[in-house]
Amino acid sequence: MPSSYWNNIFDKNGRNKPDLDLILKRVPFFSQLKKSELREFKRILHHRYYKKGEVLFFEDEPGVGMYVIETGKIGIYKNYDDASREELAILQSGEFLGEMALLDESPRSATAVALENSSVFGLFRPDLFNLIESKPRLGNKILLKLAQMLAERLRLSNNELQELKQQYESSVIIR
Amino acid sequence: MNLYTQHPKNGSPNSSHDQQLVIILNKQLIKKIVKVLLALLVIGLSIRLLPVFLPILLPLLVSLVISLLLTPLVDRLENVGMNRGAAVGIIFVIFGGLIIAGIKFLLPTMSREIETMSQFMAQQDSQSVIDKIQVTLTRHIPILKNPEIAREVSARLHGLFTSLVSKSLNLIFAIISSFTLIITVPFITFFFLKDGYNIKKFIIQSVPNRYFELSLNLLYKTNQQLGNYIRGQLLVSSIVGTLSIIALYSLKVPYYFVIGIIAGLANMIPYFGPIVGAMPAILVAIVENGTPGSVVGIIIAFAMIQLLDNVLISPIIVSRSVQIHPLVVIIVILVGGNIGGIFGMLLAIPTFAVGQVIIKEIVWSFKHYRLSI
Repeated sequence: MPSSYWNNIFDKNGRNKPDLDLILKRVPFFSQLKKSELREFKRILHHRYYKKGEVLFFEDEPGVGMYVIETGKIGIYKNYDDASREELAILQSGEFLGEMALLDESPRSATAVALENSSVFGLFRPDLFNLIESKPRLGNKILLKLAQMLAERLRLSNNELQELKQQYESSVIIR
Repeated sequence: MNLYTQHPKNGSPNSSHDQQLVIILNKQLIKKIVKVLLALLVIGLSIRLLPVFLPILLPLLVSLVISLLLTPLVDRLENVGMNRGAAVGIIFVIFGGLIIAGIKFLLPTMSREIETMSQFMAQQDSQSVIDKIQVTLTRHIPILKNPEIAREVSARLHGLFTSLVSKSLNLIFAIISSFTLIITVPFITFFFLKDGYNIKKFIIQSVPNRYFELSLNLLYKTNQQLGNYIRGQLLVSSIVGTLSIIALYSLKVPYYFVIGIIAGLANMIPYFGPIVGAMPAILVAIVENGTPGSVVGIIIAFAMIQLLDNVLISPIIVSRSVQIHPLVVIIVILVGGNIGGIFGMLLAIPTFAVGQVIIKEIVWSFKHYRLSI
């Protein structure tokens, strides 16, 4: 039986670890939360342990939510099972992944694998939606941050697209 | 996967040394076999211990259904800033009060009706009741005057009547013997309502990593769909039951209260429920009055209620996600009747619908998530 299994069951202090607040504060969605809000928010987090090599989620599976890394390293891969495997990123403590799944159930765009024994906090869509209903002020704060982050990414993508377009046009003119 | 692997040494497959089979026990395969055996052991033990746990299972299921019904109300109170424990307490006081008031005001009427109904049944010689029904039927359906058909109808009616009486008595005994439910259910429901989220979280916590997201998705989706279905069904049944009581009361049908409740409960059975619900009223009207007018009135009233239910009530309240084919409905009702009599027939469709939702979600999850033993 993998040790992560028993760690997940007997996780007694996961939510009360003193450094969790600091880790969550590093995540943009939660950086604005007050202490009382953060305490409320921690109730809906799921603490999970993954041993080295265990998969958090596979590419193309329906997304349920995001993870914040407490300790360890998580690798993000495209075509994880194929020879054409492509490493997209290696994430470490305080970084997060899978945040798009907080908004809808669309398939995961990549596979996430624990590269060493890791512990993560999961925030899942149904819990977030319940939070928005039960504590609208807190839920909206998180949603606003999520929207701001997505807007920022869209702006960056637009800029990159613009640059690529200009490069393409100039190369056509030169030819 | 191969159990054995041949290892040709020195690159020569024909040498005597190489002909010796080296059995490499595949660790992965052994692990899988052990897991399957363990799973079979757990299933076997569960089946063996089922009779021991069955008495606990029923209060657990009833509490689960009640907590599914009341959770939105508790959530709403919690959302306005109330502590969850206090919110559950308030809901318990309100519903407890309503139930006590219901028992105080409605139980005398119900028990009076059941008592007079059973007295009426006891007074009536079953043959004379059947004769009355037969006379009414032959008066309006001439083909039944044929002596052979009349004999057949009489025999069938006799069977129906005796089984109806015995089954209603069984139902009453079942209700009385469920006294333990009255004590255990509120207790368990309280904790389901108060700590439901933590219980769910604990269940999810004990799921292995590879099934974690799948289980999470499955639990949330089934919980939501079942909650909507059960709440919807009970609300529709209450409305149809109330309308039936009002209609039967205005038509001056005796035992209108008990018959109206039966009609409301029977409404949970698709297609056949309304017929099952109307039957007691029609039978009582025939036995009491013997006039076709009263029967026609009851049929029109029930048809109107059904029209209202199908056009207005159900489309608004019940989600259409639970659809069952008419043929499946018949089979499920027959199986339910075989297992638990009238009670089984009533509970068969809701139980089947609940199972259908769970299986549908499991199949969806198996299709969309990668799984291995």
